[in-house]
Amino acid sequence: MFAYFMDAEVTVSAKLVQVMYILSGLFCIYCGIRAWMKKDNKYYLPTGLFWSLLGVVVAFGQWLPPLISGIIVAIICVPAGLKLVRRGNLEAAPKEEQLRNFKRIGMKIFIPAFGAGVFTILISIFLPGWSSLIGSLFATIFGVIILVLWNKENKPMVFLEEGRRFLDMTSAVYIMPLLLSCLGAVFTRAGVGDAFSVLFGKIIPSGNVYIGIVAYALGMMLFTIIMGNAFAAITVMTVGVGVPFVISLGGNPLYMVTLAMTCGYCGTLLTPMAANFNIVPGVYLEVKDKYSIIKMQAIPSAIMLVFQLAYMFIAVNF
Amino acid sequence: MLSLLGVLVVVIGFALKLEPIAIIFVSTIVTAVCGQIPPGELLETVGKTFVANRTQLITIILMILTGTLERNGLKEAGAELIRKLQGLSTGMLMAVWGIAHEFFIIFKIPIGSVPAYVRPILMPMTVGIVESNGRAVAEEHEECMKALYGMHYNVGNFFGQCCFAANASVLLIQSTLANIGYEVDVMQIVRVQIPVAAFAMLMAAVYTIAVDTRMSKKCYGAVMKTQK
Repeated sequence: MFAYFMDAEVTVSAKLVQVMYILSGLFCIYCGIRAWMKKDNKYYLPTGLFWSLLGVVVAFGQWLPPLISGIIVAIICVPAGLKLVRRGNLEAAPKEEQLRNFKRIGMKIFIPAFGAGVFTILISIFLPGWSSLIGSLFATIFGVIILVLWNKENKPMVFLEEGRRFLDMTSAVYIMPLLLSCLGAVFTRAGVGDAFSVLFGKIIPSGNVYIGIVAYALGMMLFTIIMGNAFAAITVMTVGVGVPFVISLGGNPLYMVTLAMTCGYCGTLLTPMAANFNIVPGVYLEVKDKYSIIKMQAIPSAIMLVFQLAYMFIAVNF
Repeated sequence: MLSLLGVLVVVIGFALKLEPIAIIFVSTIVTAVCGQIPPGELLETVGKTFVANRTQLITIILMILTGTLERNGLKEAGAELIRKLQGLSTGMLMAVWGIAHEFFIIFKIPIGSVPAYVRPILMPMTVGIVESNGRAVAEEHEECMKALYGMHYNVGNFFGQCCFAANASVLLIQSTLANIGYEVDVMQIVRVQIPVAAFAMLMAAVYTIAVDTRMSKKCYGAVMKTQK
């Protein structure tokens, strides 16, 4: 590990990315240990295990042998898959305190809030070759310093505990996109893509890239409607339809895959399966008809799909 | 063809609303068994991919900042910003919020969720516009507002999120492209998504104003505006 950071061959950007992973991982481990100490719910043991082990892979993944990382990931999945990772229902700061702090700090609070986006853009413009992801690291450091200067009550424990509240809220679903990437790699390794293109070849006439695009985009949308999740659909649809019927015919992979994802979102807008977006907000707002949000989204979803299809047609040969 | 069983597990599992991580776990094992991948190799593939793609967990570091921003009045500042707007119709207020919300998503600013923001702050303000005109809010109009807020929240969230380079969706697109043999930088993906985000922002705002204007005329015979 130390050899890595002393190695002149490794770029500063790559080292900073690792620093960010180590800090993020240590923070996860902190959250895991706190879950064990605070015993917020009766599932504190598996919850703490989940966050601690996740922290180990996040922090030190670069130096762990792939087999060890794989075993840790498999262990992490057990409490997560059995719903044993629970929220501690940590409370936000009382409204009076938020209001008092707002009176003291005022609209300036937007400055650190915009940090992540701004730093990311600045890096991509002024530091070509650097990973734009470090923007998040810079934004956090900058934001923490500025908040400490503005408000003496922002002690280290405040940052850690408030951060823990947010990580706790995301719960185990937070690692789902990452696990889907792993599933995608296993699919590729097992030849799922080939099997899929044989199957879809019987339905989709191949040879015409535009028909392929329509099949890819609509397929993403339909799969997302059924499964309620575009993240799960993209891995399957890309190997099964995107590659054989669009990309192998010369379709630009960057544009096609990127836009297929947001075509999937048009499906998310239409499905009660995506309850956390389409049903739960309605519950918070006490709607009379629980499908009213989905109904209101039908026309915007159709407009977005048509727009993106047109965009894909234009960008196919970029 | 047997390897497709793993895909079937994903489709059925998600459709039955089983625990997502359990579905993925089972699908991985089914795919490995059907595709004759030995356990050691499976674990290595998973370990390697997980570590290579843990960029998707990059927002962990931002959480250290996020919670403390809220404690220091970020939500209050957002409410104050909206309160300063004058001479707005109900539809325009919703559209302005929708546009601001998508910007917040693009810059990954943690305000604007439905329970934390729309429910306690925006709904009372929007209803308040109608009441300030001396009218009781029609139930049909109120239900319409709720649905519009829900729609605007989702459209802004979905089509704005791919403009933030470290967002999980962008990184998943990147890893999907890598799995099929194309290495791209996250900013390339963001640039592809900018027209989509801009169009979604405009479309949702126009749609909201159009629907609300129609509903207002139907319920009250006129569009309700705040006093100048």
